[in-house]
Amino acid sequence: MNRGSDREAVVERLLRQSLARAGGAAPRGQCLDPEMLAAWVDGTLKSDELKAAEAHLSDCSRCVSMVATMVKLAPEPEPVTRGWGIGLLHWWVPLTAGIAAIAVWIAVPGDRSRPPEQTIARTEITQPEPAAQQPAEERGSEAADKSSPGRPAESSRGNRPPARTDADTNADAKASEAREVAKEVEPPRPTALSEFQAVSRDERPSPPAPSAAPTADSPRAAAVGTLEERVTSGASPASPGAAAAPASMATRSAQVGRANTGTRAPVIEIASPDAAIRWRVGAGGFVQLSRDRGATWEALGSGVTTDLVAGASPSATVCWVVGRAGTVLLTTDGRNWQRLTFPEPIDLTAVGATDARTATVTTADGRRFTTANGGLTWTR
Amino acid sequence: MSTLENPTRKGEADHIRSFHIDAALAARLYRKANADRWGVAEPTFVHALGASAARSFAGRHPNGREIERYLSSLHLEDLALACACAAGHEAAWEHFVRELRPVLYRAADALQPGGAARDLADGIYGDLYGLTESGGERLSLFRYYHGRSSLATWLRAVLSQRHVDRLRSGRRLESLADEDLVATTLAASPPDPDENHYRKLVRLALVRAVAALGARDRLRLRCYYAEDLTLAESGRLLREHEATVSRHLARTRREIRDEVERQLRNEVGLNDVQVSRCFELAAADAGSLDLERMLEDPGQRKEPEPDRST
Repeated sequence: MNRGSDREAVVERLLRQSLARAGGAAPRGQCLDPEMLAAWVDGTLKSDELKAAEAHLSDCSRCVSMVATMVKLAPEPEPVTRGWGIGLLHWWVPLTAGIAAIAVWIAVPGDRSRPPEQTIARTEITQPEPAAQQPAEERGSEAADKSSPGRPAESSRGNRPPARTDADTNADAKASEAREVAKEVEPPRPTALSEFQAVSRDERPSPPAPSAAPTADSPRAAAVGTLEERVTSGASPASPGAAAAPASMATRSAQVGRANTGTRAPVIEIASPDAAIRWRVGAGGFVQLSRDRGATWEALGSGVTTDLVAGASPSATVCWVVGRAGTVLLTTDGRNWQRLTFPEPIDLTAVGATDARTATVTTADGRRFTTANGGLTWTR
Repeated sequence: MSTLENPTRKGEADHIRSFHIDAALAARLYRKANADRWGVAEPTFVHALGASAARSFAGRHPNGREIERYLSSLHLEDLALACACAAGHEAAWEHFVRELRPVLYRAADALQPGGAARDLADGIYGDLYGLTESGGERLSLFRYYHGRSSLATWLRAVLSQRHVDRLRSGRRLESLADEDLVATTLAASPPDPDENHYRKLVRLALVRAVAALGARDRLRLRCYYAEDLTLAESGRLLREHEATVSRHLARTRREIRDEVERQLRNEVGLNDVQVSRCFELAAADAGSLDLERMLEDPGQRKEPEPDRST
């Protein structure tokens, strides 16, 4: 185990185990009383109090539990409408764009008496693509939401800038500025993502037979087809291999996989029988969890960097995910993923599962492997 | 029950009186608190303000400006209501029962949907009313409310505290390995092919690496890994955006990994192959734990409590 990412996955597991059961070092200072707890949550602690409280909380499992309980009990905060960064961005971006446009207009020599048709033509050429027409912050948020497990999207946004109009003489400059801002906001996309897209185009599986349409009572419902199928169809057909899965396998899965139909983010969404719980997986070991029907997503560490292409969830806490190079992941608590050993390092295309022990995985060449002991052993 | 006299001891009263509150400021705050709605006399309310300031500035002597800023930031209406309830004002209690007791019970139900936390809420309600007496005086839990948060948040805090204490009282806690023991073990650990020893080394190095982190980083780790808060919840607690939480967690994990590797190499003297073996064993160890849980009889498996996170 020489790769840093693998070692970090080990560190993460150990942290989860040790911190969850640890009492911590002897905490500094007195435990927080309800007044301090409440003031913490309401954000009314003075800076020195906050610092002292943080120092104490970092070592006191009791107080952290109390604060965590408070946070879980606290009602959702109002959408941020006056945040410093957002508020500043809302007027700073258009203002800067406007100034830049004027500066360019003054600085660039040219025949300003040219006919209006030329101006219109130039505007049309430089119109931003549809995605760029969204407010910069929103696009940044979406990009983070869809592509980066390390940067979940902000769940709520405040005021949006007014919609663009054709009459806006600064439209091009604004769009350009917005793109620049979005580049800063949007995290760099993993290289594996583009590779994944390329691979998925090259390795397009044959379309599933009509009879392979998923049903809630069949393991095929749990088996998610390859990415390309879902990207192109928007549906969730099972792969050919999954279509031949034994019908007697009594699955409890109500999972429906689908991919975002966007051109840049091939992400598979896996629904659990609990409508509120769902995961999404994608390139480079990307895994996210939503507990609110997909409204917000939490990035999870999968412990792998291979592309994940399909998943199945037979219960709200159990989810199987498969991917390239024999990658099989399993979570039994919804959050912590364990990589299971698969007999061959072959690309996997689909998975159907009945519970945390029993699953059938389909390989890229159409073979099926079944485990009845949570991935300890596999049989064909 | 209708008297609004202040149940304070002499020393405490003297301490509170040491915080001089300007009469004009006191009158303004009294009006702002709408305290006369509950029949709270101005001196009583001013006394509550003084008690709050005395507690907040314990051991310090703030100037008038600081005191004014602090008092103006308080939840004055809630403080007036608490004063009135503590004194047994009927209309105040009616208001509390109508507006705030449901908050308490909703929070209890959110903690344990089956209603198991209702008794905690009932206990708090009783303590708020003041079922216990001391020296013939009814002692209400309201005397601990000083207006630094909303009354609703404070009630949730009291409930959270009692809930956590009850949970912890029923759970045997293991403490982290003693730092000295860790240091001794690491220093005295020659390269050893023994697998258990390697596993132990990784865990101990991890404990030391976590202990060496800054307070905020440790708190973030605790929120995420120990308390299972979501990134968004952790962010709310730490006043950080969830993307920032995620970024800091990733950085902290890298730092811990680097530190663990450094300790294994420099302090224990392992070579690269042995360090790699340590991580492999630790991974296998974690995996086997997961497998144990996974292979439990499904009927006996404890499913996690329903998630109440947002």
